[in-house]
Amino acid sequence: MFRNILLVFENETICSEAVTYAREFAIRMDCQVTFLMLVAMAFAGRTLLGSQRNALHKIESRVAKQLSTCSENFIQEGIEVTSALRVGDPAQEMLKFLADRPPFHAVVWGSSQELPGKGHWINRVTGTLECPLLTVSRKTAS
Amino acid sequence: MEQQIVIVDDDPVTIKRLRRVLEKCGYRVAAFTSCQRALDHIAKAGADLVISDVKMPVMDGMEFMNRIRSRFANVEIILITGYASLDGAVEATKEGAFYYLAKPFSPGQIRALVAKALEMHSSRLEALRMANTKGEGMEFPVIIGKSPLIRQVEATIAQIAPTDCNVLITGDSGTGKELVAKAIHAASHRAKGPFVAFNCGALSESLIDNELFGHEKGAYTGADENCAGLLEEADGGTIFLDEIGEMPPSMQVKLLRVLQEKELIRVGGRKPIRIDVRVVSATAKDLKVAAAEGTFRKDLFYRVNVVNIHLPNLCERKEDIPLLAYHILNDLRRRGGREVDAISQKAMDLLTNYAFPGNVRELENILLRAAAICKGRTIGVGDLPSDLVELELHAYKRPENSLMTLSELEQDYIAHVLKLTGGVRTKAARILGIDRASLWRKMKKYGLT
Repeated sequence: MFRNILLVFENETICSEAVTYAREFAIRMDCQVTFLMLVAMAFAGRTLLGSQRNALHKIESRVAKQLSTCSENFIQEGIEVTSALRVGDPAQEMLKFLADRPPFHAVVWGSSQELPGKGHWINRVTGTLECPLLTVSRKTAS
Repeated sequence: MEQQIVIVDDDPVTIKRLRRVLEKCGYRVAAFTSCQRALDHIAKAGADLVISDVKMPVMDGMEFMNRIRSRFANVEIILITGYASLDGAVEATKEGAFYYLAKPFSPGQIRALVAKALEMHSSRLEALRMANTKGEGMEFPVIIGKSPLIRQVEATIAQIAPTDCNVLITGDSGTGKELVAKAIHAASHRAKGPFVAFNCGALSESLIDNELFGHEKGAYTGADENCAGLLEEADGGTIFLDEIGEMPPSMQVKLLRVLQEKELIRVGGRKPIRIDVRVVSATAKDLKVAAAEGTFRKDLFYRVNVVNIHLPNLCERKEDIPLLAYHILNDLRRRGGREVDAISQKAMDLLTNYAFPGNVRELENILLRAAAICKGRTIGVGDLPSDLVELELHAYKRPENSLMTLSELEQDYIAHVLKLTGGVRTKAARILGIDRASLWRKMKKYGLT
């Protein structure tokens, strides 16, 4: 049974094509969708904790707004949606998030139409996924 | 058997050209200048493919196509015309023409198109044949496909079904694991016995215990009478344990005992009950890895994995998509659903080029929806979900070697630091512990400028 798909975003960038695809796929497969926003932030260093706290609050409120706008269309279609925000090292945060719950049946990369370059952390994570990683792009007129 | 092609055109020159090209390819060709005579011929001798001109006196190609569709639903159609227009092409494909070809066309174009149309025709007939000979009246469905990967699965089923060994079916969601389990049961000497399916990932530990092993009267509050579990119900037959990788460790121990001793003890019971059950399990997980990591018992893994059948994803056997698609439509028709008997070529191209992360189940859902909303008897592009038409999907597989090289790691980290510093190189160089010139050289090398 197809139960849950994960839509992963990075640094508050949302690709509309990926969101549209995830919604259509969830409708036809009758599955739940989980949004995961990963924001890169280094906590060790010279920055004061107070300013990081402030930055975290701002990120939280911006992402909450973004994800709630995103989920509206899903909820209208009767799709069950869960959202999460993780701040820190994106690769580590994503792996922790995945390890903490039952396996997803597909992971959709939601921040760009193509997978970022070879050195990007998502390529490192792909090797540990239990399901396919999907990217969605708009078809070019041929 | 030679495939039969009927050509209808009021222009003898076009007929001559087409006949020459097609006969060279080994097809049997009958050509007519009148639609009525062509219809009479098809009624008598049959045809696999009709190639018809659109603009003809008395009866035009569109009307001719509609008549063919209503009388001979399985004949493929290619429409050709010297008056190519986009509107005509859209109308033709909606009505179920295989393709719409504008004159002048090259022999290569017509050869390729005819080959494609006849391949589609074979898929449609094969699906129909399977529905008529195997599907109808049978309790268990059949594996649909002609790809080498599916042929191999069928061969393994035929080989191991008569034996009594336990089977582990692996494959992603929607690949048809339960279907294979049913096929194994149907082809085994246990076919007359029960086939019981159970999903190990759907229930909590105590419920799994109760469902699989049953309980004795008074085992817990509300257990008013003795109750046999699913393993007992499957006695003499096959039990299908879906998502076995999700089974809790305590249940794994109990199941192992059943497999070793061929007996079970009900919840709250003391007396062992002997059972004779074949266990067919399925998982989308890599159980070997789970066993190595200790999340799945190794001894149970070896017991259930006597024979492993791996089911390929639909995107790995794209050649089966037309066959599966027509099988689904035939099945829908047999169950009293919509009378849809064709899929336009453009719609079929979209289906065969899609990655299907939901596998066969997704194909089925797409076609059932398309059949419900399509206006005629042919599923067109407009009847498919909009994302299939507008969006392109890429699936990334797990790479063979997932470890990064040192330079990839360096590139990754430099990009990360630059992002954190908002692109301020002086700051980034300080964090990285290198001078600005070195950072600049590395950025240039990795294309981060």
